[in-house]
Amino acid sequence: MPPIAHDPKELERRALNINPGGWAVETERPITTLLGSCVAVCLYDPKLRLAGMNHFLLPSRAKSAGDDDDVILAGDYSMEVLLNTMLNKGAAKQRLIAKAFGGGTIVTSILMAIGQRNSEFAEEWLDREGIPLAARDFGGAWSRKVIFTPDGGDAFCRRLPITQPDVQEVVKAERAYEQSLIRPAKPTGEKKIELF
Amino acid sequence: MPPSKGQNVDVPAILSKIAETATRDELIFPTTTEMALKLQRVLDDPDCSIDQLAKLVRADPLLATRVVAVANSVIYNRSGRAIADVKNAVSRVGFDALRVLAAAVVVRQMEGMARTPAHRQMAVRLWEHTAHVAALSQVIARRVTHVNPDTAFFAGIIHEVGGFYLISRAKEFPGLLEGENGSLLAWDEGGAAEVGRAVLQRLSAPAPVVEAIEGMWLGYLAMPPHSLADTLLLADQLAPVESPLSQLAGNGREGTEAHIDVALDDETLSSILEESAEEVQSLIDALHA
Repeated sequence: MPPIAHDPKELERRALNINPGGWAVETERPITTLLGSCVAVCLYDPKLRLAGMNHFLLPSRAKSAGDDDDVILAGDYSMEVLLNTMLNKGAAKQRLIAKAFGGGTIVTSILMAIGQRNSEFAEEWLDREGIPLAARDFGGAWSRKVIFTPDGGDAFCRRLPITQPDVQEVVKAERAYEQSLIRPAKPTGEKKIELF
Repeated sequence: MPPSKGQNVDVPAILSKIAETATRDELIFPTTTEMALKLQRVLDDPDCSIDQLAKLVRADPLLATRVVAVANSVIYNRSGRAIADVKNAVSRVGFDALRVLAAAVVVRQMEGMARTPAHRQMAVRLWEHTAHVAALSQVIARRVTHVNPDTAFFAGIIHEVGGFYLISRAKEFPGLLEGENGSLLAWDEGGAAEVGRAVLQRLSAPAPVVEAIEGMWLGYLAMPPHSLADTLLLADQLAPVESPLSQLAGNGREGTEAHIDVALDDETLSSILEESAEEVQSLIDALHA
């Protein structure tokens, strides 16, 4: 594929921002998000020039009353809602290409292993669904700003120091999102999860 | 830039002052640098001859040694036939690579401009980082992004000239480089660009290279990588030796692992780099010669 000239600043200006727990599918506008320990998976259908992105995390096991299934469900839900939205807009699963980012070690506020678990989950999920992972940037002690454009499916990833004020805000937002995913274990064995 | 918190020095103001100094004629380089800059000017002349260039190179033992070392490195000497004279070395590496090596001399001289033992140690580490980035840039350009490998090598050599200049002036601003990690956040938030731009202008760096370094300062790596800026950014992120300034800016790896990879046709970035490890090392060795 020939190089595609994009100005990330211009893409950032035009982009639709998604927050922790969110997702978007676009044919025109770039999509952007700021990640701490969370992961963003970008899916692209090159034939339709259809781009989708989510922003999710698996809540800490230590805080989820031992309910590992709920932990996994949070990730499954985010991936499936993104995939289904893409398919509903005409995407073909066999054409999809994935790029994934995030899972940083934001030690100041969230347990260190969370980032790694999130990135491993994303890789395993994509592998299970047979969607090739064309690019990834996981781990490290950074936050990441990601921009994904429907024009060619290019992704742009910028690593940011976690001491930046904007990053501190996203760390708070991710923590609030994580809290929203945690609920006490139900004695009945019912495993329905409330996400938002 | 807002003042950085948690320290006694106003880092953004100091960085602006250093950048302002660099734009004036006060930027003093060692004498060898003048020779290297003269070589750059001769190289800009489309009619320059190999004899003319070899004469200039011979006049500087440091540059002459490096040119011969690079001419004998794996990348430029696939046949394994070693050469020991400057003229043949210039002929083998070509004009573009000679431009790179002249830039390397400038940067090595800047390493020596640090004025305290602690700052010298920092400059040595920054040179180690620079050599890795330059070598990786050359290989990534050739195997991944398909931009000109010699231009990428050159851009890698000069991508931290602003950092070397900062270290050389740091003694005048006690505490500037002595804070904890994160204390130099302003370097990452525009300071590197402000100082680096001024020094690159003083060195008359070529416009496409400056543009690529500007892209590196902006920090957005395209996946898959396409441009010279992407080449530099990727090399910077993959370099096993980090810039000490990135660590002070709070953008260091701090003992954590990062996993970056891209699928490229039937290969991956990681497999290409694994295959190219010997070439990368040979370029690093040649730069250290």
